[in-house]
Amino acid sequence: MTTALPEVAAIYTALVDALLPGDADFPPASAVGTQAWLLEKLREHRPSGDIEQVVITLGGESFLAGAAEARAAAVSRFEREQPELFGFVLRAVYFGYYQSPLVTQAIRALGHDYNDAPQPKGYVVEPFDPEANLPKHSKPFYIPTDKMTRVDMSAINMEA
Amino acid sequence: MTVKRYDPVDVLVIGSGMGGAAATKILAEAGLRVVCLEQGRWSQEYGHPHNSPDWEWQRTHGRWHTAPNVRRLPEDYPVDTRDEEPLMWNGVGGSTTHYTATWPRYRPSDFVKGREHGFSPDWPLTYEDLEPYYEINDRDVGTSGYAGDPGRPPRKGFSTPPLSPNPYGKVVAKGLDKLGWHWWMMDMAVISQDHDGRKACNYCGNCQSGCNRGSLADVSVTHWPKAIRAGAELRTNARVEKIETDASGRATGAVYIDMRTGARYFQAADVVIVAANGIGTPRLLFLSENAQFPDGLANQSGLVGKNLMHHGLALVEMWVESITNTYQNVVSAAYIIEEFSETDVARGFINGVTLHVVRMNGAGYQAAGSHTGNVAPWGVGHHAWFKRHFAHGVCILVVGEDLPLEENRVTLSDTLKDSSGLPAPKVEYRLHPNDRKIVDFGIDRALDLSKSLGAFETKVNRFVNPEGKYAPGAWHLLGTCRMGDDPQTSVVNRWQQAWDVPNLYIMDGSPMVTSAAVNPTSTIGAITVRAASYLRDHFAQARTAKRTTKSGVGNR
Repeated sequence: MTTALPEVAAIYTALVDALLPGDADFPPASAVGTQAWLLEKLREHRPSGDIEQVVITLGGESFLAGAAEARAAAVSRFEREQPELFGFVLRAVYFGYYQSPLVTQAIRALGHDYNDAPQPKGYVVEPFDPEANLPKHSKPFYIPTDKMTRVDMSAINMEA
Repeated sequence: MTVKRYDPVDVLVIGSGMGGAAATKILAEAGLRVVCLEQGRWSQEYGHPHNSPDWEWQRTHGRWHTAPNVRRLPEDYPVDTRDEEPLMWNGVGGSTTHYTATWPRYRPSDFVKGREHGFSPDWPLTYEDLEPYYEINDRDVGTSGYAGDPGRPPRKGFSTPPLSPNPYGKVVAKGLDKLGWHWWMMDMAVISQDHDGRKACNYCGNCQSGCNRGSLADVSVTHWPKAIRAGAELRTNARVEKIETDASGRATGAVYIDMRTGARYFQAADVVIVAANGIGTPRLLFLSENAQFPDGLANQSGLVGKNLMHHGLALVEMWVESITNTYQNVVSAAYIIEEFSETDVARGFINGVTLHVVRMNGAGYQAAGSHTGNVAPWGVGHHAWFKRHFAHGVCILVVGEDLPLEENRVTLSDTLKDSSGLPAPKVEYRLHPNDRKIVDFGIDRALDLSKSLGAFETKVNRFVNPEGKYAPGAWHLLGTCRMGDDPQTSVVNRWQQAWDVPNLYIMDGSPMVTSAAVNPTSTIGAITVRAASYLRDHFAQARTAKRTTKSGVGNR
C-alpha cells in the first residue's frame, strides 16, 4: 500500500463521515467507530486488495485535503465507478453504524422503543384486539373437496 | 476404504428437520430402535446472535445467513445454481432452525388441482384425509392463532392465543377493510404464552436467526428432546454418502462420514427414511445409484429431482404516516390475505396467491434497503430519510402457487463438490408463464393496498437478478419425489413408500404434489405424521416388505 497507514485510517474516518455525517439527533459515523467496523468487514469478506482500492478510488490523500463538497464528489465517483465494492462499503457502514449503542440511544431519543439487541428484553406490544385485528368487510370462501369442479380454461393462455 | 459397521436398528432416518424429527419421535415413542443421522450440529453449539449488537450482520452476511452458498459452514453443501438462492439449514432441526414458523394449512382445493384444471395432478389423499394429522402435528409444535376463519375449513383451536400484531396490525387492518378483502390473523408456530415447558415469545423481532428463547417451533426444541427421551439416537456431524441396497432391491442402510474425523461408518436398518429436504433428498438418491439402480435410487419413474416447486415470490414495501414499528414483533405474525387463494379464471390464470403482512427487521437492515432495495441515501440527507421511514414501513410478501414442471429439477453438479468430495446438487428453476401472471397479480394487489393506506413511498422487489432473470430466495423446497397412486408418474405411494425400494420412505417436502400458495412446513409435518403413524402401525409388514403397492404395506 503506497498510502501511509495513518493516512489510510484518516481516509476511512473521512469516508464514513461523508456517508453518515451526523445531525442534531445522530452522531457522525466516525464518532461511534464505524470506520474500524468497516475495515474489519472489508478484511473478513472481501479480496485482500479492496481496502487499498477504496483509498485509491477516493483519490488517496487528496480526499483528506478536500472540503465536504469535494469529499462528497469523490464518494459519488466511487459509487459510480465501483458500484459493487461501494455497495458493500455502504451496507457495512449502515449495519455498523446502527448497531452502535450511541446510535440506538439516538433512535430511542426520537421516541422509538428500540433495543440495543433483540434479546434479552424483547418488546412489550399492545395486546391482540379482536375488534381491530379481525376483518369487518369480507366474503370469504373456500371450495370443499367434494365441490371441486373443472374450471373453464378456454379464455386462459397457458403459453404466455 | 475401511467402513466400520454399527449393529442394525429398526429404522434409520436421514435428516433431522421437520420430517425427520416428527418421524423419529413417532417411531421411537412406539418402542422402535431409531437412529437419525444429521450432517450438521446443534445450533446451540455456536449460539444465536440475538443478544449481540451485530445480530443483523450475522443474519445477512455471516453464519446465520439463510443460504448455504453464502454461509459456507463445513456442514453445508454448495448448491450449483444461477436460478435462485435456496434457503436451507444443515443442522439439528433442519430449516426450522431459521424459518419464520409461518403455519397456514393447505386448502381442500390444493389437493385436487388435477380435477380443477389438470396442469397439476391430484394428490393421492385429500384435505380431509390429512386434517387429523395437521391437528396432531400442530399440538406437537405448539401454535398460536385465532380459530374461526370463515375462509378456511373449520379447525380445532390453537395451543396459545394469537400473537399480537399491533400497532402494525391496526394500521394495516384499516387499509384492508377499505378494500373489502378477506384477511385473518396468520397461523403461527410461535407460542404467545408459556407452553409445554417453553417460554412465550417476547416479540424481539429477530425470528430468522433461530429463536434463542425456544418460543418459535424449531424442532430441535419441540421434537428432539422428546424423541431422544423415547430412546432415539441422534448422531450429529454424520454426513450420509450413500444408501446401500441388496440384491432384492431393498435398502440395507447407509454409509456416512463422521465430519469430525473423516471416518466412514455403515448403519444397517430394516427401514430407511430419507428426510433431507426437497434438494438434499433427490441428491442423496442420485448419489446412491448402483448397478441395480443406475439412474439413482427409487427412480424408475425418472421423476426423482423433477417437479421442483418453490412458490412464485415478490415483496412490496410501502411507507405510511402512521407508526407501525415493523422492527418489533414476530416477522410473519400479522395477517394473511386469502381473498385470491382459489382459482378465478377471470383473472387470466389458474391457481391462486396469498398476501402476507410481514415485518422489516432492524434499523441497519432498513437503512441498507430492507426487503426491496430502498437504500437510504448517504450524505447529508441520510438522517432525515431515516427519521421519515424508520418504524413507518408496511411489507407485503406475495406467495403464488407455482406449477410442477419437469424441467424445474435437481440433478448432480459436474463441477461443485461438498467438503467431503461428494457432488453438490445442481438446481434449475424458472417460473411458468402462469406463475408469472400470479406474481404480477399479487404485486398489483399489494399496490392497491399501498394506495388504500395512503403510502408516501412504495417499492417492489420482483427478485430479478442483475441479468434480468427471476432468481428468488428459494425458501420452500418441494415436489422432487412426488407421491401418487401410479408408479409411472410418482416416486412414492400415498404412504410415502418408494415404489422401487419397498423399505425406503421419503418424509420431507419432496413428496408434495402441489405447492399451494402458502408456506409448506405445517403440511410437511402433517404428511410426515400421517406416513410415520402408518409405518408405526404396520411396522411388522414394513420391516420385511418385498414390494410397494398402491394401498401400502398393510393392505395386500
